[in-house]
Amino acid sequence: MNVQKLKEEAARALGRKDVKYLIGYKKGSYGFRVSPAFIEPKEDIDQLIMSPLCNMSLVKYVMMEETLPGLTEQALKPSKIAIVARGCDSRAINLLIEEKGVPRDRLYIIGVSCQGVIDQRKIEARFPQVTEPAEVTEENGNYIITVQGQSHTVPKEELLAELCTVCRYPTPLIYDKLIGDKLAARPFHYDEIAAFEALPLEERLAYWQQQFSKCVRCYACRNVCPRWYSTICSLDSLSPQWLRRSADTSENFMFQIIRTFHLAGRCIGCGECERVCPMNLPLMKLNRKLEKDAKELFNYESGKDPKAKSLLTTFHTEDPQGFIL
Amino acid sequence: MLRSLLEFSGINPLRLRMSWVSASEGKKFADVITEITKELQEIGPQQSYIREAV
Repeated sequence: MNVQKLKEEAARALGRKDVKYLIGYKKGSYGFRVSPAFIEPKEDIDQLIMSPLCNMSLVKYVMMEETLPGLTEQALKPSKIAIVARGCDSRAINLLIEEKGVPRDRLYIIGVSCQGVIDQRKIEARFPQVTEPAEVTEENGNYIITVQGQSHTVPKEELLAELCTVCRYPTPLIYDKLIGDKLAARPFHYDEIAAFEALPLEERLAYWQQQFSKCVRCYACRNVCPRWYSTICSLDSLSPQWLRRSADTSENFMFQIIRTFHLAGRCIGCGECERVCPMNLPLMKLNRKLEKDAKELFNYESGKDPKAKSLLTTFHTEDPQGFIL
Repeated sequence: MLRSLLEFSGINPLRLRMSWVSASEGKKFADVITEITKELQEIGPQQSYIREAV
């Protein structure tokens, strides 16, 4: 990853008259964490980093900015936000534009070809109790990890986030400037989903009951999701109260089904929900099931094209209708 | 898609059903309801995910 080139592009973006600030990554305060960086023009551009540790999605911050109440058209000028986007982030942005969440001309996208990121849980299990900020670089299929002055070499497969192994588009699909080489789209992999589908009904039920019983309903998965930006949410509604506040298996099941179905044809597979889940629920298993259905039934992929119509708002006469009995 | 999601999470897909019935099709409506009730009686009530009484 060419960080120098990223900094140059970032400086160029911030030099533009219409760019208000840039959202990127900076070093976190401890261990293997990175922080989002909000850099305004004339601020220090050197704090910007890009490493395999940058495993969070920044797209959410775009929406948070735009939904501030009381902002007039005048206050939004200069109106552009520059954002550093990986492959999955670019799909999130595509869908935002498609759903008219953010107009395209409000964004200046610096695309970064992504080689996959590190799973926070894996690296923290491998190097526990690291308090100083660590550094990671990638070299020939290995991660070079500098922890407390010592350098370790770890094969990439051991730390790579599982979702990155099934990533379809490592290169951003939408960008103003691209850093790094264009990587080819990868084939579909839904083997683990198909294997789970093949299990008997009772076994699947038992599995999910066990999983959902762990959920503490902190709603972190909902809050972090770049697809969730409506101000009215059925989960918060008290009248009517669709869902009780108690965190028991039945309410949790209902919550997870609502959350997952909300992502039907919209999930872009960034895996943020799973990353932030304090109880390690396999949420992407549900999301990827819907992704698989969307692909197999409707040949639809979310976030591929900003001009496409979203799946559940369109109807074609040739759509499969097996669900009508 | 909801049907297949429910099936994925271990709910019998027979429990969810969608049909188009026009207001003038009283007979069809009765048939659909009779059929689904019969099917549901065969499966019996869902034993899991029961909301606890408060």
